[in-house]
Amino acid sequence: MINQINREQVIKLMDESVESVSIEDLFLYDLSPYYEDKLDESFFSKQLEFIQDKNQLKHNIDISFTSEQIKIYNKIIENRRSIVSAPTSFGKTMLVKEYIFNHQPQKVVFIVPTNSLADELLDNFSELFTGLGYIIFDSLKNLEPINDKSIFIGTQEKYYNLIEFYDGIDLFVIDEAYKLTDPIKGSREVILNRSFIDTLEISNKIILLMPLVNSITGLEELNFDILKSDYAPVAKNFSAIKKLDRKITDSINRNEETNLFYFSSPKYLEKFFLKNLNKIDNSILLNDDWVKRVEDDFHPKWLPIQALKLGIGIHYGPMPKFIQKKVIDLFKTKGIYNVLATNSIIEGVNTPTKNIYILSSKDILGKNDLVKYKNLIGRAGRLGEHKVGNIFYWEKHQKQFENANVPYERIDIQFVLQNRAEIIEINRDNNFKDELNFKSDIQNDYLEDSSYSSVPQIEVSNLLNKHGFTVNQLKVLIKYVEDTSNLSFLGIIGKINRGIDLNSLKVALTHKYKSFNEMVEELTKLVPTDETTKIVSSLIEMIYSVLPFKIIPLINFTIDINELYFKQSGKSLLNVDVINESKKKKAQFYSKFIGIDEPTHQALVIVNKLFEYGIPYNRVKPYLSEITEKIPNKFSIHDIKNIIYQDVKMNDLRIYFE
Amino acid sequence: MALTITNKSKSTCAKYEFSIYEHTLSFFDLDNYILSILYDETKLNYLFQIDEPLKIGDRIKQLQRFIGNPFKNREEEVLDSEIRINIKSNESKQSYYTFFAEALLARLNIDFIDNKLITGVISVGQNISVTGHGTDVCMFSENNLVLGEAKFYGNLYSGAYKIVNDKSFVSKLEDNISRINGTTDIILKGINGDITRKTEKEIKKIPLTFSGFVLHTSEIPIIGYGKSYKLVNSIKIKDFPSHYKIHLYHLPIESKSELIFKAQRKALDLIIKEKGL
Repeated sequence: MINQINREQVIKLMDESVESVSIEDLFLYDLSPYYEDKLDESFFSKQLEFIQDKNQLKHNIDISFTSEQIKIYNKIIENRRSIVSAPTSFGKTMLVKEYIFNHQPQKVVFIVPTNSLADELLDNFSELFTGLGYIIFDSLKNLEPINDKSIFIGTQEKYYNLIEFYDGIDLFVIDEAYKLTDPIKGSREVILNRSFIDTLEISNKIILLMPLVNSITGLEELNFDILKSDYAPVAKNFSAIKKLDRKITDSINRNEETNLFYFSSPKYLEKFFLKNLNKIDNSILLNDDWVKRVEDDFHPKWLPIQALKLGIGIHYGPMPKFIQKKVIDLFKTKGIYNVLATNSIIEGVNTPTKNIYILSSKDILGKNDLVKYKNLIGRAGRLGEHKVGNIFYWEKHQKQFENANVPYERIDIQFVLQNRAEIIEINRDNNFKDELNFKSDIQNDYLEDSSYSSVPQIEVSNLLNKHGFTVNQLKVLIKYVEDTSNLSFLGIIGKINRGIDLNSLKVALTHKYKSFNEMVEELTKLVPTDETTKIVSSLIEMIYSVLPFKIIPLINFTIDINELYFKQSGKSLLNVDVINESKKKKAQFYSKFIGIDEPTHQALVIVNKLFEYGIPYNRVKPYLSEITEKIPNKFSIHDIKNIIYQDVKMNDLRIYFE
Repeated sequence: MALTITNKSKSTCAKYEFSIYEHTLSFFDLDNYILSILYDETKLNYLFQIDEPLKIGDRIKQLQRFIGNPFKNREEEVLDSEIRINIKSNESKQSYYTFFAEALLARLNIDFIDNKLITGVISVGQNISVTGHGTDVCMFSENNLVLGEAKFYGNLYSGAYKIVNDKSFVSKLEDNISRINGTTDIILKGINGDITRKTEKEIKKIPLTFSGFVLHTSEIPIIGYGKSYKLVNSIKIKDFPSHYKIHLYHLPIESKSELIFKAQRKALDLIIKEKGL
């Protein structure tokens, strides 16, 4: 049988000894990426050489499409709307790059789930496509229509901010599009779904990329052609280990093979490191200035920098991007062999490795984590480097592992677009209902039972979409307002964004504590039992994640919904004190971290970009006007980097890109 | 067709034959004929991609397989002397000779056995890593299965002896025959990527021809070929079904090295013409 199971067996045999398989075996199982190891002067070999030559990619002549990729590529050309469902190492992004290179669509939008992945692609796409006249960007300095030959690469949030400047898109791609099947929990899901829905009609061609699943439902009315392949050119071994912690310590001590260690949370990761790995020394030569800068900007006792000095990478969400990038760059170039990571690595970046160790069962080995699990294990093995990847897990997790390690034939996903409850959550408008030919039994009736039913629902819906909030969150807000006599800003935050560390919030927004070290000192006084590294992490998370992505949007939303209500009913939804407090917090954040109290779009978008990358405002301030002046209208962090590298005066900032 | 087949000997069991490709051409014209059937645009394309029409660049890529690697993408600069030097260095490795004989055998099989034959691989049974059939050429169509061994030797006897007494080949052929028994999963995959599945019954119905081919420098006097023809009697294959055949063929040419030189020169000239240089 020619199937992936047998294909993997051939790969494993080849991994043991190249001699144990023949060129005929490779041909039979479509393993053309390995032909090079077996090609000879026989006529059959020359026939295969011709096929390889013919299938050579135009955008990268070192790579040839496999026959499976060709089948899907030809369908992508043919179809207006495609879903590509294939394993992690299939080369899905490569299909898109080849399409862009050969067909050169004028306006391309490529949505990815994280900023880190966007940065990686921005780099790669800039190298490939700038020469073809493309502008590669994720931000606009001046808000004006987008008509140039351009490729936007960024998260759904960034795209949704720009969507109104597109009157049409020639190619629209969503990477990890299975996220469109996630239940609507918050702004990320709302905005992703809205981005998809609102782009459907203005896009000439749509490609959704996702891991291999058995069935995809919920898009039947939208005429997507589902292109599936189980082809993967690398194989995997799975091993249950009784003393996984000991194996990990041994493996890190040996420091020979690339290892990725998956933890369900930063907390568990840090605990494991401090208990098991603190004494390991795989020290590497790190630029002293870079280390000093991280220690100055953040804290010398912060675990990720301490670990990196010992030659072990840590990669989790609450980290400035330039440090995440450093860890990944070192891992990819084998500067370091070991990275401890959380979810951030699964969708974060392309990080193939020889071995993956799954330390947690939570959020990865559950029955609802099947796609996520496939995405994680998909990183084990790398074409051209590791033919076979290994996955190790605790023996005690055997049962959970068996539930998670199911064949793709048992994974079915459903897009939320035809799920009534979810449709209301993403505030779908009438146009979309028409396209789906939906019966009109779905009403935006979520305000009917409240005392705000006079507010036009379409306007409420627009606000929800604009700020990425769900109907349920609005309902919670309205109920809180109705039920609470003593409203407060912190109360609203607590209701909408549960689990926010109020101590960190308070310290982060207080102007008195200017430097990061001062903030750490102050927070230590408030939580003296916490370790310094935990305090640093919670502050970083507050400053780089919670404040900009949760609290500021909530403030903007409450201000706007309050104004809308006032406009429609003559009464405020929230009292003046709450609104003033919200505005004050917002001003404090901008003033302290973005450096501008009332930012213009131009300044805000550039400082935001630097802030998102992890460069503190006080470092950028002296050069801000010059960068703003020189930056092109469509830009990404790479354009900022170029400006910094072209001007010796900005030497001080280069360190963040090294 | 300038070539015809004349049988020269048969084994006592009558299943093994030795034949010669005969013609009335001069050696000079024979060389040209061989190259014309190999490099004919349609015929060559068929060898590489069956029914796919030639696209821009395909012909050049196909012809490039027939020139030495150092000549690729600088075809117009290559002098005859360079080809001759390259051939000399290749002579020790035999690689180009083998390749050329295999390509010619594939062509002759199509022209003389079945014009629907395509090259590919056969996988028999569950054993993952034995797709290889141990032969130089594997070809099939709906009606025929051909395994071929090709030799390009200085004389006929050495080449024929090598084929007939290649233990590895005999054992693999026997192995192939025995593995077909009782198997349910036989896969034929053509060079075009098409896959055909056969049951044991279906595959056993298809006649298998083992086609051994020796391209060699002509010997004078040709009376010496008789010794080679007798080699068919030394072939012993266990459980050889009655509708299976072993046919040995040979084709004498004037000079091994001269044909190889001409093969590369002609391929280079055709590429230069294709490139419009």
